[in-house]
Amino acid sequence: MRVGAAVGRRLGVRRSLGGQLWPWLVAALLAALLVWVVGRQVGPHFPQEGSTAVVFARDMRLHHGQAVELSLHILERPVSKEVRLLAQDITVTQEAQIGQMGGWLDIWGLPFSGPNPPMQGMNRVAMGMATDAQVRSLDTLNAKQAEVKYLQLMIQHHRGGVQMAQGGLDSGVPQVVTLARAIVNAQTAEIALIARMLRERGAVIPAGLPQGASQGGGMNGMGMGH
Amino acid sequence: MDAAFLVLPVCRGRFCHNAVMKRMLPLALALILASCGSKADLGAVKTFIYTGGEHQEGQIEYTEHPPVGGKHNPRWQKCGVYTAPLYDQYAVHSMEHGAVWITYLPTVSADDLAKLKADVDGRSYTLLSPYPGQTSPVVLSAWNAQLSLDSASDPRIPAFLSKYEQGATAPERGAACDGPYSVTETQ
Repeated sequence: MRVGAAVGRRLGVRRSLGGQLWPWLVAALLAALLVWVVGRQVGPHFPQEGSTAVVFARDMRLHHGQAVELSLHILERPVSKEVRLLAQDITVTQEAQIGQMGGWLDIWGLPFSGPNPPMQGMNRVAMGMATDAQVRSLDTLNAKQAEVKYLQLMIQHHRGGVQMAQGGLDSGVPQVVTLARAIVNAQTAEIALIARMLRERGAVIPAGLPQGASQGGGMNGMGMGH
Repeated sequence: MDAAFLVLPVCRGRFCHNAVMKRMLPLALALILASCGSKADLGAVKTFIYTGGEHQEGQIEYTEHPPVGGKHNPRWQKCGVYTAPLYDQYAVHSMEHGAVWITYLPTVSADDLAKLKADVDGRSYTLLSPYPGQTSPVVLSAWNAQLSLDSASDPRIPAFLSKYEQGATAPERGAACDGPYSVTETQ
């Protein structure tokens, strides 16, 4: 009480508040608490569960994971030096970005995984994802066919990646926008590179991504999603 | 939860009898409840303290069944749905990478199995397999965390997946769970 009164005197509110300062201090404390709690839930500081940035981070981690998977499979095969370099480049780049996006989720206080599976409701094939059978074909085709298959799967995968990066560009979160732009630039350049490599091998360049036939229809039998 | 830590330390002695405080208390409680949300309670999850990721070839004996950490094979089990039992030592390596291993007694109904399959559908860091001899019908295991359940309809399954799939307890969370090794005990 004495401390309260002393503070009250210094602030010049001694008698004007009826000498009773405690209610004001408590009210101020609770107001601060209210701001803090509400700020934690709706504040613009960290992206929240369900936001574009969070969905992008989780979806892109899965999508990148499959690019790494495809690359690791082809690196087990005796393929040309050019394809090996591409696969190594994709592996180290996308693995680093997977870690980067995981770091965001950690700092944002959110799980890597979250309440729903990644890319929920999306047609995974329409987003360039390979099926389990396509992934396995990289192990079973002869080396020449396997490297062409890898290039064909990867060009589709990058086309889907560029499309999915749109979510990051629209997120309004600076570091997310920066990475999304980097993904668009890098993968667009690699799409041209892979197209050239396919042409040089006299192989078919896939026309484009299949249009999303059914929502979520790509879930079963997908590489990395079961 | 967080709000409680702020309110409780100042609520001592005569301070607590303050009329304003009393009037504010319901508001504070409401805020605490709101911040807790409505997640399924994972209080029954058992935790462990395995730290190492030591590699060892051959069969490895584990204390827990299914295991929740410890030494493991250099190869990890490819994540996915299996209809035959897995060797523990490969699945533990997958859990080190962040996999949640859902196991069930072979006697569970077809309906229950369908539910479990739906739970892991689209989730790339999960293993699903039968585990003969486990003490509960359904067990959810991650590195250093395990939850035993009586039913495949338990609402804590999605909550456990949300928290522990590539979760913070996994020593190498986010490392690939795809891989060349997909052998089961029947092969």
